[in-house]
Parts: sequence; structure tokens; C-alpha cells
Amino acid sequence: MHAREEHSGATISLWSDELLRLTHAPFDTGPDSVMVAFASNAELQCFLALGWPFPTNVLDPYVENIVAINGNTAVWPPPDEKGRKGRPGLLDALKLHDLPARSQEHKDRMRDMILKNENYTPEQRREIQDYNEEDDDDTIALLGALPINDINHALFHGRYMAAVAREERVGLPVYSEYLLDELAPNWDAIRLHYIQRDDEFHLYDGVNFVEERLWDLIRAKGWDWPRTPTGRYQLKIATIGRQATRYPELKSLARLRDQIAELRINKLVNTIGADGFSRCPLLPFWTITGRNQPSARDKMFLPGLPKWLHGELKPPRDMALVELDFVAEEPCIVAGLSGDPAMIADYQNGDVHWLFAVRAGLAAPDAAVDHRIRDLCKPVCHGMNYGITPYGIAAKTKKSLDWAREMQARHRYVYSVFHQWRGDVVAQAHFDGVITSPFGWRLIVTANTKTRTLMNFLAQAGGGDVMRLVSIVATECGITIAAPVHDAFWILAPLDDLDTTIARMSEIMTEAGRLVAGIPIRVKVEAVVRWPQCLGDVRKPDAKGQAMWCEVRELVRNGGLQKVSNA
Amino acid sequence: MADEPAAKPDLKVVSNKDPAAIFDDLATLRKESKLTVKRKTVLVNVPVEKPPNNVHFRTHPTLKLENATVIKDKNGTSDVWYFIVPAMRGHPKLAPRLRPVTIMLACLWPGNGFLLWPVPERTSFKAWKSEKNAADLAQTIWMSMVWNEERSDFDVEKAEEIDIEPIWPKESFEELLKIGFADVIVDNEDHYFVRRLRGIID
Repeated sequence: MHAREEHSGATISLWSDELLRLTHAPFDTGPDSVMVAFASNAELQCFLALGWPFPTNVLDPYVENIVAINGNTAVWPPPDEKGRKGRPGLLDALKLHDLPARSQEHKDRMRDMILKNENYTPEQRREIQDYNEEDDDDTIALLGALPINDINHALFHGRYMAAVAREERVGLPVYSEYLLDELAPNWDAIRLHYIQRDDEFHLYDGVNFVEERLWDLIRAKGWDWPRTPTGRYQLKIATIGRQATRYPELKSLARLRDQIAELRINKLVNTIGADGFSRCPLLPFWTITGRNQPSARDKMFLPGLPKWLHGELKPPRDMALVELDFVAEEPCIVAGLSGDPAMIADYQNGDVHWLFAVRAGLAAPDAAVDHRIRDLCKPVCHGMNYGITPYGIAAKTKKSLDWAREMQARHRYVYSVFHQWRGDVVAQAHFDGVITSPFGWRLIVTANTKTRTLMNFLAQAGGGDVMRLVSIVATECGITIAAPVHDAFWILAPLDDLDTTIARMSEIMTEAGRLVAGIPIRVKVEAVVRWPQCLGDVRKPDAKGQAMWCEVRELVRNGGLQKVSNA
Repeated sequence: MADEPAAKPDLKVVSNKDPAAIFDDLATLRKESKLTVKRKTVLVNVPVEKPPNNVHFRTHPTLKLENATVIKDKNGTSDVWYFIVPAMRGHPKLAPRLRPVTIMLACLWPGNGFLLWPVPERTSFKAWKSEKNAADLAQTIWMSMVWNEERSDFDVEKAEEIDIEPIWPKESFEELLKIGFADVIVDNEDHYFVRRLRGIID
């Protein structure tokens, strides 16, 4: 560890054996000090590992640099790396602010040297200390260059990074014996089983997809197919999924590729620790709306995998794993922020999609919910947040363009206050050159900012605000969050304290929703998994992915799988 | 892996820290939205015509102006309906051309457009009678109307399966009439339409 106290100029340099002897950080972490660290969730995880109390105040130049450039496409991604994903690292951030930066190669070499060794030679120790000192200097130089106008919000971001550190350290408990001893070793055989069953067009050779066969099929069928900039057919899973809505013959192929054939189980296995928990970096503030985007090289976030694999979730001994979801979080946020009385009433009275159907005249007010009609209205209601066109509505509902136009007109009519507000928000954003969420997450608005991005910003960034508030309050209250997942939380609770913990978490989520939207966002308990069961044991038979979970387990445990040659 | 005993995760029971107190502190960070830009959409055009033959329509049961008089004229390829005020109905150039109508508010499907429809009050021509019947029926059901060349009459049909109610404009009927007939209300001798009929070149 290397730290510097700015007010005294004192440096603190300690090696792991010295750190392990300490019960708290070797610098002031009280309310009159602030700890500055770049991507502080990593440092704070060390605090957790060492059992040190967290600093009261954290200021993270990684986050504040994102705040300074978020949405400014003229500076990020860099003009010569337009395809670059993610957020700027320390060296990138220094360059963005015209500060001198070391080479990436030097940083990579030092990081490798530190991580790959446990004992260091005197020469290596000196090099590491120099490297750490440079890192401190760079972080402080960057902080000085950042335009932090609102210290309270900057500290709020730091507080969230502390919550992220806690969440990343917990991770999701999984049924690791099944995953590592049964599923992963049989993975190719499982894939082969489904490929042989569902590959109607014989596009696979064993477990390998043969692109040329799909090209031939596209040409033979005369399908209109999107291409890459270099003229090749796009073969992404999402592309095939979209094409399957146009050409239903492709549905089984889309399902096969999405659910199993192209899934690399090793990316999940790589996340499993010795304690049977799956941990993946949450990557806070990675999206322009300030939300997390969990991923890592060669790792996959379990909730991002197909639903059937969520059956793997299994709490440790004497614990329960609980999923709490916000109910219609985004509709509630836009209803509350816009102040549309009809939209607020519909949210408070129940199912927003069905109540729109009633207002639109598609159903009588006293009629029982007709799921066919409700499901048609759902994409209309969701789409209106981002300005869906009648073409988009028609594509999603498979209804005519006339019907789609009518629904769009009716939505505008019944929620006229919302539509006026949405237009005003977009106009204001263009006028100000910036748009800001209720809790201060801002997006710089340029000529390149899409109108749809602005239309949807407050729903998404407001949702990010809610998730941050819940993460902070719940973790500071001692609730163990295993993972935040878009508009839901997986939490762990001791079995003998389960009801109290669920009640407290629900209360926190509802209150956080109210703070952002102005009206409480409802919360429901989506799943409760008690040790020794896994989610796959308790999920309802008709739940999404459950049938496949049972089918795969049956295949693995009762034979029926062929050996796969790796030749 | 399965043989290794799983390490006990570092989990804590819920502490007694009061979440409400934490929220008090965080609530001060909320930024009140101040929208200083307010857009205002103004209705500038209300079509005056009978419903096109490719839509279904409903007519409003009460928002209508009975005993009105109009004259249908051409402006290029489109129709222009002049509204003739009662005081001008006896004008010798206007009287022979007058059509007594009921101006009805019609809502169109698809697209939820609307228009002002001068529905003939006379039923001496069978097509006018059909038009009037269609407008009356459309007060409760979605109708369509297509000209049949062979019969020299409209084919009037009910929609097979439109099960939604029309959405009517927020503006008052008087406002809609003012917008729809702006510049084409003939209320004096010097109106350009009257002067044209008299053969006066301006």
C-alpha cells in the first residue's frame, strides 16, 4: 500500500505483512478527512479483506472524470479509437486532461509483476514503491484537473463505490458442486445434444457452427439480412433473434444459439471462488445513464446469462438468498417525474399496461385482465419512454401499422401531461447542453446526442439513482447484497432473520424509489431460496428457464449424453 | 473443487442502524427539476371535408352545427368549403349555390385524426341521403364510405372489428369551427369569393 497525506505531505508505504497487523487504516478516515482513490472499489475491497472500517468520505477521480466527460463524444472514446468500449482508466484520464502519463506498457508490466509474485526481490520492491508513488501523484494531479462543482454529489458517488466494494466482495452463491463437477465437464455433450435436436438447418458440424452454411441458407431463402461494415452477414445472437421475428423458421436456431450452443460455460466457471460464490466486477457508472455494466474478460455475470442457468443460485448453509424486484420501476419514475395524474393513478392502481389498455379503449374498465391485450400494450407503454415509432410498435406487437399509429395517438392523448413533459425535458436538455437525473447524474448533450437517448434518460438514470441509494443504505445498514441486477437486488439473509431482513430491504427500496420518483415504487419478493435448496429446486414449473433447467439436469444425471470427440 | 470444504462467507446479520436516518442525509442531494423551457403546441389546421374513402370514422353525437350553409368550391385539386353566414344567404350570387348542411365533428381511424364534415341536410340526391345516413350511424359505430361509380352513390359499410372508442380533440367546437373556416367565412359583400362570383377583378 502506498498513501500520501496531502495536508502533512507524509507518505505511508506498507507491505502486506505490515498491513495484516493493522486493525484500521494507517491514516485518518474520520469525518474531517477524505480518502482519494482511483476506482476506489478496489482499494475498499482491501479494507474489507483486512477488516478495516471504511473511511467516512471517499472521493474517486475515476467517477468524477466520468462525470466530467459523460456523453461528450468529442473526447471519449478517443477520436483514434472510436470502437473503444468502457470508461477511461487512469492513464486515459490523465491524457484527457492534458496531464503527463506513463506508458500503458509500463503500467501493465508492473501490474503483472505485482500480481504474479508473492515475494519480491529488493529491486522489485523499489520498483513497486516507485510505481505506487507515481500512481498517487497521478491520482492527485488528476483530481486537481477535474472540475468538481458539487462536492456533496462527488462524495455521494464515493459512498456508492463503497457499497459496490461490499457487493463485489459478497458475490452470488452458486451450486458449485453441480456446476463444476457435473455441468461443466459435460458441457460439450449437452451442447451436442441440443444441437442434434434443434439444428433444423444443419448449420453445425458437431458443436462447431459453420458460418458458410448459414450464408448459403440466407441466399437460398432470399432472406433480407443485415451485414457488417465489411459486407459479411451479421451473425450475432441478437441479430439472429431479431431476424427470427421476421422469419419464424429461424426461431429454433435463435433459441439454440442463445440458450446453450454458443454459451461458454467456462466464463461462468472463471467467476467461482473457493467459497462457491460467483464474483464478477460490477463496473459501476459504465453506462451513460450511470448504471453498472457487470462483466470482465473471460468472465460472465450470472444474472446476465440465460434464465435457466439462474437455477444455479444456492445460498450457503443456514442462509437464504432472496430476490427483490421493483415493480414497473421505469413507468413509476416517469409518472412521478412528469407529474402526469393519469399515469400516476394507473401506477398506484395496479398494472400500468392493462390500465393503459382500458384508457385506450381496448378493454372495458370492469373487464378482467386479458393477457393478450395487456401484452400488446406493454411494448407501447415501454416504448413511449424513448419515443418508439409506429413502425417499432408494429414490429414488436406484430400488429398492423394502422393499429400502431392508433395506439401511439391514444397514448399521447391519455397521458398528455407526460408527453408534454417529455418534449420539454428534451428541449431543456438541448437548451442547457446537459441533462441531469434527480440525484445529479449528468449527461453532456451535444449535436450527436440522439433524441431517443434524451427521451429515455430520466427513466434510466433515475433508475440508476434508485439503485445507488438502495445499495448505499442497505449495505450501510448491514444488509448483505449479493448482486444488484438492473431493477432488482439479490440479498443474503440468515434463515432465522429472514422475514425481518426482507421487510427492511423492501422498506429501503420503497423509500429510495420515493426519493427519486416522488411516489413510492412498489417492491415484490420475486424468489426466496433457502439452504440447502437452489433456485432450480424452488422455481415454479412455468417460470422462464425452469423447464430447461430440469431438462438439462435430467440429461446430466440420467445419462443420455453422447461423448464428444475433441478431434 | 467439490471435495474442498466451502469457506464460510463473511456475512453479517442486519444491524440496527436506522435506514430512515440515512435517507434524511441523502434526501438533501435530490435536485429539483426546473423546466424553464415550455413548448406549446398550437392547433393551426382543422380540415373541412368528408372523410376519405380509406378510413373509418365516427361522428360526435352532440358537437355539431345544424342549419349551416356552405358553398363547395375548388382550389386547384382540393375542395374549399365557404361558410356562408345567415345574413348573406339571400345574396343573389350565393343563394343558388348554397348547400344546407350540418357541420359534424368526425374522428378518423387509423391515426386518430379529426375533421369537420359538412353533412348534407337535403336528401333529394340519393348520394346525399347515403352521406347523411352514414354520418348518423357513425355516432355510435365506426363506418366507412366509398364512392361507387356504377351506382352513382356511396357504399356505406360498418367496420368489422374496431372495438375502441374515438378520442375527441380538447379544443371547443367553436374553436375548431374558427380554425377550420378561418379566411373562408363569407360575411360581407366585399368578400373576395363574392367579388369573384360577381366578376370583379381585383
